[in-house]
Amino acid sequence: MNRHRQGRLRRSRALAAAACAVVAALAAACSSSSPSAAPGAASAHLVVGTYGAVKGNVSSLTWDLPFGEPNTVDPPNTADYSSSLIAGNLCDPLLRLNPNYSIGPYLATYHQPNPMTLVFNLRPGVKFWDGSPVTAADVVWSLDHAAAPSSAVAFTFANVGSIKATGPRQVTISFKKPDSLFLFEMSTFVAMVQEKRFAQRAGSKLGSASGKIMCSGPYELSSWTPGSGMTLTANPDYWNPADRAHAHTVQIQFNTNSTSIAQALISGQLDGAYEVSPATIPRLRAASSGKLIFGAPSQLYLTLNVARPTGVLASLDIRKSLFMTINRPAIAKAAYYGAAIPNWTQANIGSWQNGSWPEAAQRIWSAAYAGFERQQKSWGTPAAFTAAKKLATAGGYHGQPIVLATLAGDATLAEVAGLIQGWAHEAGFNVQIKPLQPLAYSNASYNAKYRTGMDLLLGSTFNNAPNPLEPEGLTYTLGNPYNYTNYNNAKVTADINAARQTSNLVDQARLMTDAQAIYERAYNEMTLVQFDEIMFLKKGLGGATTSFAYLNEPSLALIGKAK
Amino acid sequence: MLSHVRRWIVTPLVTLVAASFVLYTAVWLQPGNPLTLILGTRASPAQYRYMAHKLGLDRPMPVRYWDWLTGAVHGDFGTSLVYKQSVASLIGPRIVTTFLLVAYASVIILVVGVMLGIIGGMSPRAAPAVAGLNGLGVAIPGFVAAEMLIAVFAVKLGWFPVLGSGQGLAGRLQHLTLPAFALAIASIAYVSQITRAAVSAEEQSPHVETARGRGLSGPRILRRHVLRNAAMPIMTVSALTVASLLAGTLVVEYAFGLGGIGSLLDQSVQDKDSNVVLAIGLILVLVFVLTTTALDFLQYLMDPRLRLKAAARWH
Repeated sequence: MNRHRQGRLRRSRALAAAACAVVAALAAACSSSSPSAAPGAASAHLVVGTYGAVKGNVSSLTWDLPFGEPNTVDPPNTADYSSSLIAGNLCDPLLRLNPNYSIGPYLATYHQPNPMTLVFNLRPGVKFWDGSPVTAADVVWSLDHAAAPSSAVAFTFANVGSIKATGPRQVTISFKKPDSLFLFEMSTFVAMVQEKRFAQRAGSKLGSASGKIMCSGPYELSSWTPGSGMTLTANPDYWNPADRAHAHTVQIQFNTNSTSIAQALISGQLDGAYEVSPATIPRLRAASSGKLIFGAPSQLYLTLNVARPTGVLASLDIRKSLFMTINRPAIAKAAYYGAAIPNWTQANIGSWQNGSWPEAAQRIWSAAYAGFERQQKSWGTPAAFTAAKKLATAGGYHGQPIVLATLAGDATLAEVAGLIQGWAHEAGFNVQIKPLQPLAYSNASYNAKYRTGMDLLLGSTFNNAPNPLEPEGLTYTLGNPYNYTNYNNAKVTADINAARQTSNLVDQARLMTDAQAIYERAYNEMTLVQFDEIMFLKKGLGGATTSFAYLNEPSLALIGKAK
Repeated sequence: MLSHVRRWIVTPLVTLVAASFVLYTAVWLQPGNPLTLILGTRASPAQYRYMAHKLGLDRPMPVRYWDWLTGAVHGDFGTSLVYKQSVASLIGPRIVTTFLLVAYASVIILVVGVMLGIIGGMSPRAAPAVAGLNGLGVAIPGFVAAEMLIAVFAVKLGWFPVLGSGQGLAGRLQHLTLPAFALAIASIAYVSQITRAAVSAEEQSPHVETARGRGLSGPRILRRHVLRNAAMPIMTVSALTVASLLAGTLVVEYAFGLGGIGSLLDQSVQDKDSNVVLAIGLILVLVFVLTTTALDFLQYLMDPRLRLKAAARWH
């Protein structure tokens, strides 16, 4: 979603109740539609889907948000880690996102009479915390609110023509043109339903500590003390037994200091946290108070982008040769302590190796991926340095500085930037690291004005939709803020546009891998590694969603006493 | 009388307004667009223009500053751009934590610092040990002290919690004990060193020698002749140290996960959330101005020489 996460985004379902605490080799068994081959999946602790089964309730949970206090819990504006986790436990979306990224009915069932129409039928008997029934008017208001210019996710409604209540419990969405990503968005915070009357009364304070929110989820927001914490209390009238709260209360803390969080997890003061810092892995691995979990499927990855169409990296030979110096397996090992795998295409593996894709489509992606892996896996070796030096010299490189910008204050990014600088130096490149403050970094990620003087932008990012169409559609179509190099190829544009409009995922995979074969040769962007969702859970607890889908489901509600 | 009004009322007010202008300009000059935090990085340019207009961010800086200043005069410090709530409701719960932390650390600094200083100043045998402790205290940065205290007293011994600010007075005091010590260590050393020097100087002064010659008891000499005369530099340094603690809470709040105004200021500067930065900045300036003004006033009351000088000027 935020192409470069800077600190603040994402949810599952316990129905896979046969909790899949298995190693990567068993990924296919857990995720029903995973392909039998799991490229690169090598982490010994990898837990796919859900960790531990639940046998009962606990009185309370104490949970930390390592990215700090949410700035809002108003769902369409919760496009960051802290806000989205809380919103996912307070509010229900129209559809359910499962830990393996498949989607299913939730507040509503749906059908598509034709590619231009999507109809939702609301489940009867669902009530907001104040006892009012969830109606079609509430759904229309919530979707209009998400599509408004003040919303962070208005772009997801770009192809929507109208949203109308067509019955007391029916909402119909008409499209200007077909949009294959839209249905998935209806299982995320984009389509979480809140009470119209309450929201209108709250006005501009909706979702803040003073304005609060009115939803129908398994937890209610009973208190929010700015700077100190939040208390979530179980909703006794929750409609869905499968996703009910397993703790009477959840105390949410906003500590951001990774060292202190690790100490609190080790000492047992915290029951758990998602998005644990990779830098604390060695300490937490040895903790006896609970379990350090590397979760999959992940949509988190580390990218290196060419930052502008001009400058020294305007030369294809120079940017390719610079990329050839980078050793991806070494980054996975050194900076992520094994909680990452090298990724050999710009699309991260998890974007196509997940339950939202049928097996036939995954085979197409997997075959394309294997070709790039064969071609690039010798990169970053002494032989590659020699070849890179030769290619760069032929391309006209003679020591000009190459400015690599990254986020200041992030130990993992600093380490990776240092590694890249060192390898590039071996091949004669002069890479200079420029750390940016969070706001400047975030601005640089989407506005060329803020990237002046930068040649490369290094950062971690994630996909909202588990589909390469999302990131690659943003990077390789003209006029898009993430197309930093003004890349323009008629065949790539046509394939991406056609893929967005087809609901046949096998066709979509074919179109996208055709485009991939062209845009990968431009070396405008390099996905270095895909890293696992890193979480810690106290001994005696279970039911935790381990995949990155945790951000869009009531993941805290699912955690209870372990079997 | 007029000079007193100028010194104790007009000057602090002018300082506050000048500080607010400098802060506002500094935040305004900082690169970056804070709307990213509201709209994310995938909103259209038209959305950015819409929100900038809606929130008044497209108006010239002097106009925005004037609006803020007139609001502030009426007690309205505006709304946080990021958290969408009034600055007062955002700062209110945090300021209690920060002030409790500062008050706790101040008590530790004054009691331990002054006591160590007196021991060091009075006893030549203890002086090297006190000087050594002071050197150690000054040399340990706050964040290192915090990590050491957490590792020993929270994780190893389990006497105190690692994180959070606690509920109720007893809970809060328990949660704030380690942070208060982490915040106080360097200042204890500083106050102790000044106290030791001041007491030692007074110890060797003729009036103390005379008092000893008159056969006065040790405690009486300490109380009436040493501390009374050493009080001025000790009080000045202690007051300035305590006033500057507020600005130093950031590191300790971050280390112990305390939601105070130090950590909020840090976050708001990064987010370019100008109303919050201004409000906290002004609280820091106000505390400093009030402390120095109060110190000035106390010195005037305690030192007859200052009163005589002022009286001479009036005539």
